Amino acid sequence: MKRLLAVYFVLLVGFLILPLIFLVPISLSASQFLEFPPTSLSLRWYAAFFEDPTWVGAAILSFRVGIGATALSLVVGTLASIALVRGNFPGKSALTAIFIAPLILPTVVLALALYIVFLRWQLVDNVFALTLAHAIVALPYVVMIVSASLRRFDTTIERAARVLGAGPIKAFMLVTLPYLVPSMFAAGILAFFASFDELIITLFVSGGAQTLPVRIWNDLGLKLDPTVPAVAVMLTMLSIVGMGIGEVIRRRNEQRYQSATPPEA
Amino acid sequence: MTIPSLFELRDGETDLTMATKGSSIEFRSVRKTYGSFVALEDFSMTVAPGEFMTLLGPSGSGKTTALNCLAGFIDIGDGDILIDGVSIARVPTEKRGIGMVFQNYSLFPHRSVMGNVAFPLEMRGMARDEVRRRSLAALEMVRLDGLADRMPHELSGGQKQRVAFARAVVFEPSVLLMDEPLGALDLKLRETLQLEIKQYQRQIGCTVIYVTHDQGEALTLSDRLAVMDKGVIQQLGTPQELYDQPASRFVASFIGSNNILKVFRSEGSTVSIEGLGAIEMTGREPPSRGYVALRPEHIRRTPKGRASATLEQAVFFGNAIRYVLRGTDEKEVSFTEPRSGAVDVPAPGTEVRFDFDDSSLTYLPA
Repeated sequence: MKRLLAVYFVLLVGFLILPLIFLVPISLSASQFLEFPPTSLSLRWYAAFFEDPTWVGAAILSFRVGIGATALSLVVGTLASIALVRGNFPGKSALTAIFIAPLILPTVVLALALYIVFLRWQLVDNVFALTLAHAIVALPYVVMIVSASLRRFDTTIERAARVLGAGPIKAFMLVTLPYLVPSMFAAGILAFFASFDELIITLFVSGGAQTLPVRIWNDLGLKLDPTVPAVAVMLTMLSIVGMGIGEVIRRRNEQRYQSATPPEA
Repeated sequence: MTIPSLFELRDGETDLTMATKGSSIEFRSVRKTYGSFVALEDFSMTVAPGEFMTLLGPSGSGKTTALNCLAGFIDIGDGDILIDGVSIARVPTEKRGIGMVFQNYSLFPHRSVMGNVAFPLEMRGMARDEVRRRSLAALEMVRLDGLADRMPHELSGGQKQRVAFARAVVFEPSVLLMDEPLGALDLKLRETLQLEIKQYQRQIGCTVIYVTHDQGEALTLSDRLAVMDKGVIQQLGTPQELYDQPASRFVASFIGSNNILKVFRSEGSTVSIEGLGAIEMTGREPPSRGYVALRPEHIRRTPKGRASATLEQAVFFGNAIRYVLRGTDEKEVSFTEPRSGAVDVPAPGTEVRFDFDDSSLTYLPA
């Protein structure tokens, strides 16, 4: 039984990460083609990425849109979470569902809807409109993570700040927000990658502008050289670093708050 | 010129402003309901400046509701609350100038000990040097000045509560609220901190409203206490008054231990009391109905006692022995006997005769 479980574990983990592991040697190939295993190693395809202005341009656009969408979704999502967790108004659960909807709705549907709206308002091929569209996709992550964190917050700490002289806004900024920062950071990382690897909506509304996923997509149609695996490996590294930082911050915070609020006596 | 804060006074020095340090607090028939649940009903009391007032009661008795109304965490329903004669119904929490200590400490987890204590002063826009000086003085008072740079999660429960206390009084509030501040601590630490709290309060001179469900704590700390049940003050008085003259069965049983016995009937000077049997009273008019309360320490074992019952068990308390008896009517009566020198403890099952002074009986309404 134990052995069976071990086999299952290896298969499952292998299935999850093997494709990624294959990419590394392919990206390091010196050959013109995707070959596995590579006959000789080189970093030429990594160099090719940085030497090609369309690749670099696509990366820069992806970062710009990603950072903008993250910032926007964090501000809107955190404010929305406060209302959804603390507020008491009719239609609250319906509103919660609306905030989570972009995660559940088929992306194609959302893309088509946005495309139609953007066409009418002449927002196609507009970086700000693209950022806005990405923020919609990123928003559910922020709302889910931040509201979960806010629900766990011991509100007497905020009361303590109030009675000791802080107004409602000051108490929130000085006490509640520092508590939320780590989960906002985690949400921000998810939001950033939701935008960074967004393809379908971008294809619909970006006009001709190429983000990194769109550039990869376009490359697949034409030729397939090892630049794409090289990009993929770099993206993976970026995600691992991002998640790592998020985890470190989350743990540090957990320790603080766990020992700060003993269970109700 | 810097004015020394209260915490910097040396032993023996007296602060001239002390007499005016505390505020008077007045609750005027406050009523607070949640749906059909009445949390507070016609709640009125006046607390004198510098007084230590305790709200004592079981959970759900309304004591925390009263405190939260005063702190401004919940709206005062009907009625009014006045501090120094001025209504605070429309004053926001942060402008009420109240210090508060919470049951779960509620320290700011991301701020150091120093940062926590400094918070109220920072909110009052005090200069940095002054904030630091006063915060250190407050920490010195609670003997934690060596831990100023620690984070709350690095402190023990007792240390956390001392920080919470320093934070609550660092700005020298005229009113200090404490909501079961020792509830999360173990017994030994609780007793130590009780004495400290009392000492600090005398030093600072602020008016304290203290909420607890621990009657021992209430008796130790309070100048006066209000026993609450079901949103209503059952009785308000000094610890001694409430202990010696409880006005109701609830108060008699809630404060200290007590034998509460039903009165059956009286004929002339003889009264029939549950657990005791027929008692010939000489000292005072016997009760005709209702209940009597008889403290365990007022009963003594004597061969010529007026009452007798079967000994169920004798419990060793170290400095005393607690006898649990069962009367012929199955009612339990218990009493304590101080243990000085050799005491012959009868075996369980033995018939024990006992007596009491008639004046030690408290008559309670039905």
